[in-house]
Amino acid sequence: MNDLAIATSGLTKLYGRDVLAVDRVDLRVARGEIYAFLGLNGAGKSTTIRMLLGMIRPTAGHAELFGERVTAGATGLWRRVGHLVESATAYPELTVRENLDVARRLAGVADGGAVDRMIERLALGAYAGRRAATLSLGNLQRLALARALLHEPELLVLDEPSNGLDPAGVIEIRELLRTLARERGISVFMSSHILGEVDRLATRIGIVHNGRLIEELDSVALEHHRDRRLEVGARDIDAARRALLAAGMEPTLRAIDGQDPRLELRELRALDEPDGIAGLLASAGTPPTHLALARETLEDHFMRMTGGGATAA
Amino acid sequence: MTLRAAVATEFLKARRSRVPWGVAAGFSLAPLVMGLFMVILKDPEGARALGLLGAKAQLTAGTADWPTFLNLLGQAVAIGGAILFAFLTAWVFGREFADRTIRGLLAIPTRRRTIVVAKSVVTAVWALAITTWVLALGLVIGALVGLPGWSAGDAAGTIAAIALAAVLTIGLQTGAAFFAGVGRGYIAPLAWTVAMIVASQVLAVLGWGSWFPWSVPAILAGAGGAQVEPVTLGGVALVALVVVTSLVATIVWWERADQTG
Repeated sequence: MNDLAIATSGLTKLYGRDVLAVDRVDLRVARGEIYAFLGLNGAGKSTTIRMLLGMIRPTAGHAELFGERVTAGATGLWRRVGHLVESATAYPELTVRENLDVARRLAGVADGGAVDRMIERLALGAYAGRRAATLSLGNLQRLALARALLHEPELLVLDEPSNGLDPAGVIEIRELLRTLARERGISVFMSSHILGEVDRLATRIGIVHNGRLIEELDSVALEHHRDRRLEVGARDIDAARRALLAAGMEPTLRAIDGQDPRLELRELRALDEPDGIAGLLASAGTPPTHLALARETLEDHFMRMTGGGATAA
Repeated sequence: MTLRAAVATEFLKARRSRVPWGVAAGFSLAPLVMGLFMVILKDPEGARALGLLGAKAQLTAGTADWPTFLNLLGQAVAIGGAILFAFLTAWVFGREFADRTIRGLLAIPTRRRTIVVAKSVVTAVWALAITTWVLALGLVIGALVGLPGWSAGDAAGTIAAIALAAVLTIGLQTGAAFFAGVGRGYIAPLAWTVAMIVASQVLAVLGWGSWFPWSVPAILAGAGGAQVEPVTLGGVALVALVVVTSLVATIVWWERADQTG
């Protein structure tokens, strides 16, 4: 049995002669993994997702799901995959229940009870008889997620699954995806702009920029790569800096708009024993007015890797 | 997955939508208007007195009898059908792109060709049902108006020609289905239909109508009268060729084109 849910090799998409949307992307997503695919607008996320689902043909390279080559007609494969591509859509004239029933029939699920189970699971009971045209964006998103899960797939490919959900809904979907991955071994490949959410959920992260996969980390490696620092504030910042330099440290001065300048220490000694730094500064006659351990967020890391928001060509 | 399941879902979508019902309602006007013409033709002075006909207006539709009435109805089915069935086709195929619901029809266990065939089946069955309804309504209206000249044999022949014209018109909608995909919406199939109707008029005037597939149904239904060369089996075969080619092209496009909508 192939242990990989997704494997791509040199996956490339060129539109026309010069728009390189995806450039030689090699992805490996193991079974049971929650893989977050991050990138700025136009970085190539959606094109990659569509190539994984056989909606767009690669210009070069190929994608495999569960060891089987992706093609539009690989209907056996699509029994094992649920997806939500870009924004959630539904037939506006059909009710929530009818929309799910259409999806159930096309997915070849004989059990009509699957629709009721999904309505209950995604908390859509109050809206089951309502036409999709009247749904809020959040409930439309729930409907799209219910459709993706209806045939109990082994792999979920989700583009912005938390889009439009309220904070409670975001937490609910996070827990649902986590439970599916943990208890049923379902693999999740998702893109998201809510990086705080990704940080809490993903077991692996890939960052795509200008069509190229520029970094791939699991959650342990991400933790290791995070920039950690001790922020120090003092009334006489120059005196504090001199005291720290004298103690063999390399403080960097950071000016923040509208705030007093701060010193940042990255030495392990400072990170492990901030109280020692406080004592050192007090002994030097410049006690700290601010002492805080800061950890780079995924958002900070992402912005650092992608050049601080420079948009893709 | 089975074609049956796909057809069932397409019927549900059509039943719930307004467009297919609007097409049926619009088409129902044809026998009503033809019936009105017959009433006026039967008694122009009475119609003037009732305000149905302007003081100087003349109707040139012919005489108020069953052959004229059925001929008019046939033309309405062939020419009106070409337009109204195009709306139906543009809706059934194009709405998936306009509403972006196409995403739910891709990367699923049902093959894309099955979806295309199911949509074609639903469009054809719906259009045939509308045609049957319009013909039945026409017969009832003709009887109510009390038209003279009824001949069961002649009527059966005319109705068979109208039915054939309707079937060919419905078949030719596969071209609109193709353009709904390529144009990703409603506009391209309707533009294609208008272009074909204009071309069919021009070619009919030039004497090539019986060989131009989009002219054939109207000529079969009696449009053009005696001046137009009658349709041969070759002309009907050309229509069949266009239908099959368009259906295959639609399937190939759905299965092979990049789906970015």
